[in-house]
Amino acid sequence: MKKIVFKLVGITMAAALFFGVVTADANYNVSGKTTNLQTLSNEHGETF
Amino acid sequence: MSVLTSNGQMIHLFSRWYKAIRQQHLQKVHTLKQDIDGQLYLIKNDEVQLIYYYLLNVRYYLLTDQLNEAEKVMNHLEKTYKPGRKAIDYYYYFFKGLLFSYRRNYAEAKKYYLTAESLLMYVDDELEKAEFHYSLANLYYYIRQSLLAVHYALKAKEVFVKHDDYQLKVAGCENILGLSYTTIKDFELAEEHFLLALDIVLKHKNKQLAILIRYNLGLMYADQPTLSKVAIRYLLEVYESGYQLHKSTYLLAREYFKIGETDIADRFLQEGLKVCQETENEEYLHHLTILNKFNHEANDDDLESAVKEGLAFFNNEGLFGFVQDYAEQLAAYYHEKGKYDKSSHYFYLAHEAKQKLLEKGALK
Repeated sequence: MKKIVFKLVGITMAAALFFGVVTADANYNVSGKTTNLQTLSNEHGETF
Repeated sequence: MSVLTSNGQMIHLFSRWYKAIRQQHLQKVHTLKQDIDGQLYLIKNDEVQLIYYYLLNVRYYLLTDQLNEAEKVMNHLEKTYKPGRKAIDYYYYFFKGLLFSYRRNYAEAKKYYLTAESLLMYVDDELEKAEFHYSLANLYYYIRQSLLAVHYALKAKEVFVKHDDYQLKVAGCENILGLSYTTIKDFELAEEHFLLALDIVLKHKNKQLAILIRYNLGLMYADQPTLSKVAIRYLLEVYESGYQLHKSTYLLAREYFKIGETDIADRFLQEGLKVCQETENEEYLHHLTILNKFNHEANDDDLESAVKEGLAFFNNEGLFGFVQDYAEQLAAYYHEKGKYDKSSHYFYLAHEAKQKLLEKGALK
C-alpha cells in the first residue's frame, strides 16, 4: 500500500514538474513592466 | 551544365539537388536547378519523377525565400496529386507543413508535420529524418513549446553531428537550443549553445550565419534586465552589417530606451520607421510606433491608440504572442495609474491571446 501511495505521489510530482515548466513557458512574460519593456516576446529570434 | 542521357540520371541529379538544399549550399542549389530545368524534357512523361520535381521546387523556393513561387508550385501539384505512395506522401506533407511554417501559420504547419511524422517510417535516410526533426524543432520554438523544441533539436543534432558535411546543420540545432533556452529563461545554457553555434559557423567562414547568431545573442542578453549594454554590443555589430535592419534598429532602440538613453533610442527608432515604411513592413512598423510612444512619453490616448492599432494587426496576423505582450504592458501601465477598468480590459485581452497561443500549438 505504501509503495502504491509513494508511486502515485511520484507520478503526481513528475506531472506537476512537467506541466509546471510548460505553464511557465507559456506564461513567460507575466512579470513584464510597463515602463522598461524588459520582457517583450522572443518571437524576434532567428533560425536557419 | 551536365549532359544527361537517361531519365535515370535525373533521379541522381534530384538527389544531389536535395542534398545541396538540405545543406543550404546556395550556389550549388542554383546551379543544379538550372541543370535540371534545362533537361526537364527527359521526364515529361514520367508522373512520379514530375511529382518529385515539383516537390523539390517547393523546397527550393522556400530555401530561397520565394514563398509565393513555392505556393504556386504546391497549388499546381495539388490539382493532380493523389496520396498513396508512402515515401512521396511523406515529402508532400512535410513540404506542405514547411510552407505553412514559413507563412507563420503554425497550426496548419503542425497538422501536416504530424501526418509527415506518421510516414517517416517509410524513409530510410537518417539524414532526412534528422532534417524533419530539425524542422519540427523550429516549429516548436516558434509556438513557444520549448521543451519539445529542445527534444527535437537534440534528436536532429545526434545525426547531423556524425556527418562532416552537415556541420552547419549542427550549428542550426545549437541555435534552436539557444533560442529555446532563452524562451524558458535558462540564459546560461542559451549562451553556451549560441557560442557553440557561433564557433561552428566561424570555422566554416559563414559570415551571414555568424551575424544571425550574434543577433540571437543580442536578443538573449536583451531579455535579461541588467545586460542591456552587452546586448547593445552584439546588436550594434548586427546593425553595422545591415542584417535585418527593421529588427536590429528596433532592438537597439528598445535597449537604449531601457537604460534611459532616449536620444540614441530615438535615432534608431526614426531609422527603423523609415526602413519599415520603405519596405512596407507593417509588423515592425507597429513595434517601432509603440516603442516610439513610450520613448516620447506620449499621453494615454496616443499610447493606447498606437497599441490598439498594433493589437488589431497582430490579432489579424495570428501573432498572438505580441498581442499578449502589448496587452499586458498596457494593462500594467493602466494599473499603475489606478485606471482599473482599462487595466482589467487589457489583462483580459492578454489572457485571451494566451489561450489562442496555446490553441495554436495544440493538436488538431
